[in-house]
Amino acid sequence: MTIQVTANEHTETSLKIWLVERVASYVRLKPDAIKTDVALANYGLDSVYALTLTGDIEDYLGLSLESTLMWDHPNIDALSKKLLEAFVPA
Amino acid sequence: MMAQQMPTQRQDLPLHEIEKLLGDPWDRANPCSFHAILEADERNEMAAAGEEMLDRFGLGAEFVPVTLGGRLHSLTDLIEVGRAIFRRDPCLGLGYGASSLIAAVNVWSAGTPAQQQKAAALLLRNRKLACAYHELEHGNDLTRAAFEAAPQGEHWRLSGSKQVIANIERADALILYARTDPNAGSRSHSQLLVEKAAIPPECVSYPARFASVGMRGVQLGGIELRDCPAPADSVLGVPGRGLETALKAFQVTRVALPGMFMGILDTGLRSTLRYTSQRMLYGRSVLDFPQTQAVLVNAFADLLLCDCFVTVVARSMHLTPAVGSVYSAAVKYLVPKLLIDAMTALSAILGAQFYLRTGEHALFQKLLRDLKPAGFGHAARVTCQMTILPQLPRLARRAWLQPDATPVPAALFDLNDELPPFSFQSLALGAGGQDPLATALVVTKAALHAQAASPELGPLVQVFVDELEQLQQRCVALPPAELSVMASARSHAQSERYVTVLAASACLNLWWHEQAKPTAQGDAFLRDPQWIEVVLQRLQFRLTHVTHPLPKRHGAHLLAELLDRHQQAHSFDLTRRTLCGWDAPSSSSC
Repeated sequence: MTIQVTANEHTETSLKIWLVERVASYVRLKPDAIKTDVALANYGLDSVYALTLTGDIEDYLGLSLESTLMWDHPNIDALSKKLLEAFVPA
Repeated sequence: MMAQQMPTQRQDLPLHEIEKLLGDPWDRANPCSFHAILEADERNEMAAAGEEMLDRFGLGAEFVPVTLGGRLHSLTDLIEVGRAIFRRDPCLGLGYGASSLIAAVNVWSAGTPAQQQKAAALLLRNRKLACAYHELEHGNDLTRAAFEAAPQGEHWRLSGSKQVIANIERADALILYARTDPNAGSRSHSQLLVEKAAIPPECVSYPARFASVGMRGVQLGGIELRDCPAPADSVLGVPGRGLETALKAFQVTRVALPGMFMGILDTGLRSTLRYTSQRMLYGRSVLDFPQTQAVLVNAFADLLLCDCFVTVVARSMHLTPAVGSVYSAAVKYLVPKLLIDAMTALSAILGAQFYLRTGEHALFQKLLRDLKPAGFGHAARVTCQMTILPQLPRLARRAWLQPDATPVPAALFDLNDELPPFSFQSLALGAGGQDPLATALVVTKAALHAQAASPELGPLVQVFVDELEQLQQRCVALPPAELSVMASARSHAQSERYVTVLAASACLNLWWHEQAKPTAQGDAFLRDPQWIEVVLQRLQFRLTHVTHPLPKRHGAHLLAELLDRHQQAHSFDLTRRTLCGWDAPSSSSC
């Protein structure tokens, strides 16, 4: 089971680290192979996969997100920026 | 045997009209007979008289929402109308009907009001739409479709080719799935609604028809467009949203088409029964052999099973549309497989006759060939698994075995309940960890236990609840890397087992709601537990590969019902419709 972390405990850096690890485990690459400004489709994170990962992010951060979040924010820089915007201070 | 119509039968459903127009299929003098349909198939042509009758009926209006002037208001009714055509001739079903529907759902999902009116007007005038998605090179991988629409000034410029598209040449308008952004990703494609009249002749060519094993009458062609201009307002909705539109809109057709293709098994069963009633072997009627009876009963049970699953999922598209991604893929995965297996089993009864393209029983080989595309066409089975598998861990965490996690509308399983209007805009890409069917299985299992209704049913239902518990343990632990196209066969097996559990829940709960009705309202056959026990036994075998023993009376009960329906020319599905005008050994009037 995924450990729940409340959204506002994250900084941009910690969020990116978590996302990189998560993406790496999906596409079977080492985290240092994932560049945050490269579209995740280039690493083999296909459309359906991106929907699944968005679901994981929802559960992990306890947020309600658009299922197409990663389609519209296709790299980690854009994604973490969008997620930080979605955080509501507790 | 009770043979009354179900009280749920909608009086305004136009099935009688369709049957009246098409006439008795067994009468060789009828232009829409099976004989004429086979002759057309041998010529690789659509049955001309059939098309004329469907024009007269105005089948296109069945695909147009009521709000746009058509008759489409419920998916269950849509499926029944389509099934009636498939019972007659799968080529008419696909080549006249379903292929326009597949195109139209894109427009109803994402089109502007003007685009919707344009498509509706064509269908209401019996014109055809072609759905040009498929590129042989990319199969079901929509994100790699190469056909290109590039912005050029005020217009789009179309270049590329599409293959194996029904009616591509004779359709009045096309839905073209095109790359509108060169970048990889999920926002790079769009659908364009393009009218043939607007295509300059020098920009288009149509390669020769693709020769196919079945559906020989259907005009399966290709198209090649070269620097073809298309107006700026051709794109359905917002450019770049094509994948999202496809994944939502095709949830409807992934349920509807298998539900329509079920008509093939209905006619396959009827053809086999006609054969068995005439054929003598070893001094006996073929129908006297226990093996023949077992095959017939199993095929009938599988038809009922398919209809339970299709009907409940079609109802769920109205009632719980947000979970449609998983359930529609589950139907598209399971139902075609069951239909093909049942027809293959029936072919053994016909022996050499099923292999012959001439003679009295030649219809069967055509049905068998025409059924095959149900398995791979419009989303291959593996594509459906790939829709389901990635959602399993979340369903396992959030929904399974948690009776309060997902609300279950009782109307999902009540055939008498009017459905709320269907909304294409309520469909979602993922189920979000909601699973009303899995919840309903556990809830009904508990109620059944409390009531101790049938000694056979309890242990059978327990098999599926146990399976759900094991699935939960296995799926919660699935690592992300096992959720992609690179998933192992073992992980793929989880989605197959899950689909079986969903189907069991649909069947069980449909029966559960039928048996609870006052005697005057329900259907006597559906109320009795014997059919559901056979159906669950069929599904249980898929999980355990060991047949749960049932008393012999079950088989005899289903066989008697099957023969009775054949005698009276009633459909073999849940609705038990009277097939008006069909030759019935003991005739009934409509």
